[in-house]
Amino acid sequence: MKQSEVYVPIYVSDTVNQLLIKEICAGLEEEGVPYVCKHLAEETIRFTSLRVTIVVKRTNEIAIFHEKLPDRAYLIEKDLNGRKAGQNAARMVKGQPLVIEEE
Amino acid sequence: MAEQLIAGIDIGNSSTEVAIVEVRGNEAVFLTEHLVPTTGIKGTVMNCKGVAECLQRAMEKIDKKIEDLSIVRINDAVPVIGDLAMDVISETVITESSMIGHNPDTPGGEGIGIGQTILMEQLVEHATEQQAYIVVVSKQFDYEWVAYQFNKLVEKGIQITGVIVQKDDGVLIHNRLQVKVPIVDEVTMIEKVPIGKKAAIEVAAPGHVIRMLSNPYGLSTVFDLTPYETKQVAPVAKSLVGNRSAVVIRTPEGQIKERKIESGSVLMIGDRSSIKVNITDGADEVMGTYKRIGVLQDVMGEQGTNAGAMLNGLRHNLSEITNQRIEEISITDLLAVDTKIPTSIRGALAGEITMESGVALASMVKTKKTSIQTVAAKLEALVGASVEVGGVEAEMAIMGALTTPGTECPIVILDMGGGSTDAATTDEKGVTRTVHLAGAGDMVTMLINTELSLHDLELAEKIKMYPLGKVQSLYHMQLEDGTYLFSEEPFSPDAFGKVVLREGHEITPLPVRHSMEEIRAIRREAKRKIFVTNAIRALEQVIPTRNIRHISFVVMLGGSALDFEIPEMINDELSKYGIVSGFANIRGTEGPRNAVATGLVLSTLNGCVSER
Repeated sequence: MKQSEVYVPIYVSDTVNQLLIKEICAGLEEEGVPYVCKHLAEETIRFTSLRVTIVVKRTNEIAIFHEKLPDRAYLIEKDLNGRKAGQNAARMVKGQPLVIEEE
Repeated sequence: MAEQLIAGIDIGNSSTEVAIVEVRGNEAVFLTEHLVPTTGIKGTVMNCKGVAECLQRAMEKIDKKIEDLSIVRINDAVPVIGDLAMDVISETVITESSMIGHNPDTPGGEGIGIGQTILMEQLVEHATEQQAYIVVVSKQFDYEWVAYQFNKLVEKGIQITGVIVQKDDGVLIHNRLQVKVPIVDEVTMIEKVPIGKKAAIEVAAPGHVIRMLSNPYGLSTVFDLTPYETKQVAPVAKSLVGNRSAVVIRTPEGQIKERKIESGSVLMIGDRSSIKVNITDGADEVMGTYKRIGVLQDVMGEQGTNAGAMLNGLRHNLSEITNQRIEEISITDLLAVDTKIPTSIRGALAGEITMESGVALASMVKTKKTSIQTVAAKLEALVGASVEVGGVEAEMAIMGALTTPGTECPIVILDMGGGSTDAATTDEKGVTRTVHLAGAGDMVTMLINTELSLHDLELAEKIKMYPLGKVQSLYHMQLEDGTYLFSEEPFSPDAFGKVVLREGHEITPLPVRHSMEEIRAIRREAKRKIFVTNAIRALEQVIPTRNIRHISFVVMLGGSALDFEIPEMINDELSKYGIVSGFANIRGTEGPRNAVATGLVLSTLNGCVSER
């Protein structure tokens, strides 16, 4: 892990709905946390210095991982609310309360 | 003589306690004790259910049945009962004018913008170059499109000075603008924003609060106000203080005023004199007046005012509880406490709240002699053991308190319960003096519930009882004293980043946006205002010389003496008067609980011993 990697990586498979990815990115951007989209098939999943990673598999299920808990997703966003998932990933980086039941 | 099982039962305002003792000849052994919530109002037959359950549980602990009991002794409950009331005494009303003052987590940009409000829908067609605009964007618009339109219009020479957004899109729009402007987002009731009016928007830099719109002279500068208008607009500035972002919209016909509700006065009738005191003068003034009138006989509220309504409400409740006519109810003690009540501002757009000053009252009334004999008879039928009514509650409590190691007569006890704060003392001759004051644990709960606007008494009760922590990562939280606590298991996502209550290992996230420090301050202030005030009041009244410096030892009893910070607060305060105080440790094992129940069984024992 390089120190210069200050962003939340979003690993996406190529069958994932593009609008969903855009919403995840918007969620992170609104919270002011940098992000980079990566291709799930071509790269191995890693953590950066922000310690939070988003993985979106074919099922359109958004899983948010934390480096300190690598075995399982800390949060799973099932109702395809990309904005909320991005927001929560950003809030995990910032240590702020997560958006849990709204909407 | 055969062994006997004796139960002592203390029916309190909020809990019923039992102590069970086995007597063999002159020897008495405490076997067990138990505590349940009191059922119904203390001193009524409703209590029997709780008492029976309490006995049942206690006997189960020692593998015995209720039938094995020889004697059950219950306390002669003190015939006083208390109630609480609370109301605001100031109110901010903003009519025909509008403001938004809130703290979205992520507003966009920073700075101040002044312009005319216009809907996004009308911007493209109707905007002219002569006018500066603050654009109102409802949730149907996508941030990309909004930013694109703004950039295009600004290039054409249209001035956009600020944006009000319904969705949480402030940063997204801001990042895409070529000319940066302040943006307030998450304005849910955006349809209420007046259109075509002069408005000012302000967003502060991260970590700062707004300065211009929260200052009356800032508002007068922005809107060109006359001194008279500035005075009118001052409540708006006041209610925006401390926000990170705000919008103020002037509606010319606007009338902004802060009007004081007729909070009214109370007439305190004492044995020496009667004095009327205005509630708006504050709790200190009310309590000061109380001291000057001698022994309180009754309190009357001014009709048609908040004070009157509060006292009437109290009287009404108390007459229902005690089954006495309203005219027969006379208030024997009153505790007034200043409080801040979060109240939604009338005329605000985004459900803003302001902290209005308020007053909380606790009062105590004497009831007719409680029908404790009826309770005893009913109980006898219910449990099948002989039930007798024990001595005076205060004497029993003192007798129980004296089982604390290191205590001796003369002693002063301070019994801090849920409904009342009581004090009692005996001198060398065995003469007992007692006082029963209004305001105790339940009032603390009420203050916490209101000041944090929880609308959940159960949660407020927990906030009163347990210390706080702030979850800072998956595995650690900061505690109130600044130290850290690490967890082996990750905290659940709904607690992440939140202020939580720590009940042993259980943690409960709190549904409030206050910081840990704010919640702690509210909790401690509520306890201090009620218990420290009442401890001093109670001791002053119970000591014959009326000077609490003449007391050397105070033993604290009751549920609130179990609290993790109340005893230390009282200790702090009383040490200023050279008094040694601490919470009791009944029988060396029970802590501040079970004093009366213990006293009740001990009193029979003394009887036995002297008979022989």
